[in-house]
Amino acid sequence: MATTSTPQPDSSSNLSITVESNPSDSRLSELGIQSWPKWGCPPGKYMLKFEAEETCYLVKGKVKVYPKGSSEYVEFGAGKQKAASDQEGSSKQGQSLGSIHCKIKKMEEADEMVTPGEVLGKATDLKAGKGAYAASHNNTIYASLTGFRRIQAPPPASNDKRPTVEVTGHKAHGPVPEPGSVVIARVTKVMARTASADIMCVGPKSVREKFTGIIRQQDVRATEIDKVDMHLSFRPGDIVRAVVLSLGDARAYYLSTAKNELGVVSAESSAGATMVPISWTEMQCPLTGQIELRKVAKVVN
Amino acid sequence: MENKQFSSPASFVDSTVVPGDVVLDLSSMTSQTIKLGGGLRQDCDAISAMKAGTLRFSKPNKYWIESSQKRYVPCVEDTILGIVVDSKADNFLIDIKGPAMGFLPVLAFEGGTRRNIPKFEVGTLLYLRVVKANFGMNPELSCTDASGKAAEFGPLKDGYMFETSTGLSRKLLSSPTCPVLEALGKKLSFEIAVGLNGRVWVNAASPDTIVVVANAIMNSESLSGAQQIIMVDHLLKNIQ
Repeated sequence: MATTSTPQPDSSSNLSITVESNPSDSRLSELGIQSWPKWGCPPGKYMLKFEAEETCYLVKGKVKVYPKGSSEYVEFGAGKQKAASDQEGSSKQGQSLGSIHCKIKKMEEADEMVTPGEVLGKATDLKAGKGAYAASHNNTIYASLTGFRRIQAPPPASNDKRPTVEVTGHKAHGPVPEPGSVVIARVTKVMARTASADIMCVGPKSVREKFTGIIRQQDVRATEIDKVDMHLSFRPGDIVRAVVLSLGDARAYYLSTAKNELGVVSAESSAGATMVPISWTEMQCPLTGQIELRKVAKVVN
Repeated sequence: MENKQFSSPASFVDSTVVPGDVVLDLSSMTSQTIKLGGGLRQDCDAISAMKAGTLRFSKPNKYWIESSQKRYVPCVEDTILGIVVDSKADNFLIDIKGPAMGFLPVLAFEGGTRRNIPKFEVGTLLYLRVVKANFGMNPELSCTDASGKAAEFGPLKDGYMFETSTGLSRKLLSSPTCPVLEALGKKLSFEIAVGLNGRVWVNAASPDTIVVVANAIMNSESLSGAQQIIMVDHLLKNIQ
């Protein structure tokens, strides 16, 4: 059974609060209560602003809602639904008597796609996570990346009961080479003292955006580093396993193959066949028998 | 028309081949090491031509395809004429009429140190030697010979440079001396530098001589030895 009360609105706003007491289970599943985000707060006075119709299901506690400027209030306790509709946007004061738990529960996968600059919510209701930020001047959370909007429930131990909103699915969340990580790269250009390569995988994961690496002459092997001939170590198109030395300069990461297990993993001969490694420095083509020189990686299984 | 494939490879040597011709059959030549030069490709046991030209053989085991074209493919130990295009910190960028710019290291001169780096203006003509020429990399050049001596390499001053095909450059450098150069040398006195990349530089005391020499060389491309001598006589008669 529903009880309605419509306190006298301000001269400028047209608002109404509808309370449904003790909704039945079928009504709850009809509304999809289980998938609503959940938040709560300790006793106190809060200013809430509603720009559109919002339905709240009070799980635990008691609330008194005062529409702005009015001394009348609507009080309801747990097990009640509050639908507040507000056509022009005004603020209501709510007084909670005892702590409130409102069930808003984590959203499902079919989330909306957001782009940078889109409003994700208010800073009073939500916390900014990955890919979102809070603008201090109007207490709103905006997205800073392109992706799907996801809401995480707040950890139960923290004081701040706001759920975290984050934007996921952006390529900036793909793996990024870090100094010390082993990467797989394809050699693109071999020059007199350097070879440049496109990084394809960091560890076991493939990268989502393009990273360039440079292998310098002194980083190709550990011995006799000044007598290294780049052309006899790499060719364009070779797949190499290397370790990231550092972030390098603005253009490329610095890579190194100066270990036994680093170097050319797979290469194609001039006849077009995948070559077979026969020593630390040689690979042979199975079709023609020609031997080509490379810095070969010893693949230990 | 069936493909003629003789078991002895000599049949194709010095004859014209086109891309796709199988010029050598390795299954008939066991326990031999042969070296394949430019224009030849190995497909398991068959050596086929990739360029149109003449198959050449030089003892003991080198095969290659020779053709004459405007574009030069850099090859190690070739002597060429290059034009400076740009100078960077470590090397000069040289245009050698090839697919990529050549790099001339700033120290690749006789007695070259960081303190006496030569200053070449853009457009300077240089006589150079190719040190490294790998596929996909810019060729590395040098102004010294293999032992580090200057040996005539370096900038060419005055004179006149003109472009020819690579085939004509090779003919001018062949030994015994090319008939056109011999005929010109009997009557005129001039200095000449031939680059295997299709550039020739001539210098002489008077501009008339330079022009005659240049015209004679450019005309001699498609002429036989005897015709070249007649052509040279003709030209010299006109100026004397």
